Amino acid sequence: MSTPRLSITQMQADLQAKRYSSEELVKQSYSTIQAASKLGPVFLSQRQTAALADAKASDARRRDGKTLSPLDGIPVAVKDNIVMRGEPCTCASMILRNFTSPYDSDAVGRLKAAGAVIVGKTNLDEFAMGSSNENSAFGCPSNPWDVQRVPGGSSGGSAVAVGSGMVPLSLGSDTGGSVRLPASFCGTVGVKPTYGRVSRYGLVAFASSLDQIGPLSWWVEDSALLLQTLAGHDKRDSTCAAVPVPNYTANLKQNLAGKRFGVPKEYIGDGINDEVRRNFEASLKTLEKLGAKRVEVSLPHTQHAVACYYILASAEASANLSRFDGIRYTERSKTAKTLKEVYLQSRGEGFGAEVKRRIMLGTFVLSSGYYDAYYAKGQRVRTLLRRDFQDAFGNCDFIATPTAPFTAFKKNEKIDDPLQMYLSDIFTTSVNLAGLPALSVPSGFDAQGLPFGLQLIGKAFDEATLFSVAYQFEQTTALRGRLP
Amino acid sequence: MKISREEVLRVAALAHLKIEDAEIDVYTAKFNGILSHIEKLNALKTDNVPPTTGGLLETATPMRDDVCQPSLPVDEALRNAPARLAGFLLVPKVVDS
Repeated sequence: MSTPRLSITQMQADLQAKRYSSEELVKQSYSTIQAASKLGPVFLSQRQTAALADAKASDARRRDGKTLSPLDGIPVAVKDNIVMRGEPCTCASMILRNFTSPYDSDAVGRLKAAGAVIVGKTNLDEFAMGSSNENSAFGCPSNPWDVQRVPGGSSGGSAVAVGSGMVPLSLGSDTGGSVRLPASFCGTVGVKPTYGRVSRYGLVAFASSLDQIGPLSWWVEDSALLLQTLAGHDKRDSTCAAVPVPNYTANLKQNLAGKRFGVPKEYIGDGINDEVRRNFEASLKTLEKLGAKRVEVSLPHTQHAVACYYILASAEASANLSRFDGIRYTERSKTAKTLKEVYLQSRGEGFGAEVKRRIMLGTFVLSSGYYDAYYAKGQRVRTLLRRDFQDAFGNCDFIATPTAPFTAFKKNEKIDDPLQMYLSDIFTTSVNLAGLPALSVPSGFDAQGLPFGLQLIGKAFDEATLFSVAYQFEQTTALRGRLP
Repeated sequence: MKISREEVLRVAALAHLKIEDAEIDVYTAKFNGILSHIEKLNALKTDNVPPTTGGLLETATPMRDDVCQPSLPVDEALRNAPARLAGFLLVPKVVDS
């Protein structure tokens, strides 16, 4: 018999009422982690001693009436490509297996300022490249709903940590769907903010024009509270927007009457899985019941999004990963004698196959003779995809799509066919290319009990609308009581 | 277009990646699989479409005042280095004597 999962607001009320302390909450987090060995390597590192000290400090603040924020004393997990001072940051790669960060990312700095207690760093696909978490150099965690299946990627560990109840909140990163896809597969909420909404300072860069840090949580309101803490200008990231941050939880219950949601006709064509289609249509009916009006929209260049994404993301990745060279902060090959060998061998030995594949693809599309045909072409297609969304948003306030073309697949099912794996991102990548915000909210279960996700895509910097729609969807569908 | 084994080796050299002999054919095959998908973009007409280069807001790179700020102490900055000496990174000789 499972007890319902508590929201952050409920935990704060309990902490205020002294029903338990933050120290007990954090201890429980670690016992849950320890008891869940069947889920495999969810965390790559844990910081139990430091976290318990942080929790005690939170309890002391609370006793003195100096609680810092709604997140004060709450356990949080952080994806292991987001740096925290004094803690490992492996990016799930052998090349960074011994790296300890000398500084805090902006996101971690904000969590600390809010009093949140970081329990550890979670597993991911190596350098955030993947859709299943199978590309980690340190093993693949299991989906809490079926341990034979993948949690999704690349933020697999973060999604499992929340989905299995280890922590109520986690941070992931999303470049082509890496927060939303595992959220959908693991039955959690996951948000990719507007590009520039959250600072990328301290997020190990994969594709600099696409990456964003985003929250994962059990409840919609909790992701809103977490984004409230993460969002805002940071001078250290020159792509970070100086756009004011609204109150994301103020209007969660606002009436949706008059709000129009666009359904892109290209997303529900013939190729879509029947169960996904049925769940999606049911979700759309729920949105209508909540008062929103359905309109058909068209995103005509949808079929080119995955190709465009892989060209641009790989090109940016090849540049970003050139810093991992065996010289400054990575493993250096023991057999290298010349400088050239240091580079070739350290990188050859330290990177996994998928990372090497993408670096090579990126190098290829940027190379002389191919640049115009591939990279420059990809940049123009990106403009077309962006314009598709601009046109569609002329007729609606948000867009609804399934998050994933299927529910969680079995481990090893797609690992030998990179292209099949890339197609997991078909509904998510164009959002990163357009720089828009999107959220995945759990929308039901298939015949095997595996979760579906509904994706809501918003106008730039309009996360507030996404949260209010998702919140009411969550409350009406009442699915959150069903646990793995 | 199909990429040859030689082309794959050329790209790997450009990317400073050592690929083992045994892996080259596997890489070539998977590479070609991905490329044939990506090439579908060539069917799209993009003659008068400007490229998107950045993330979202097309703003100029923000500048800061040229004021010294404290930075990472050398010792901390080099702590993860595979080899160091007297506050420097130690690397193989670059210039032939």
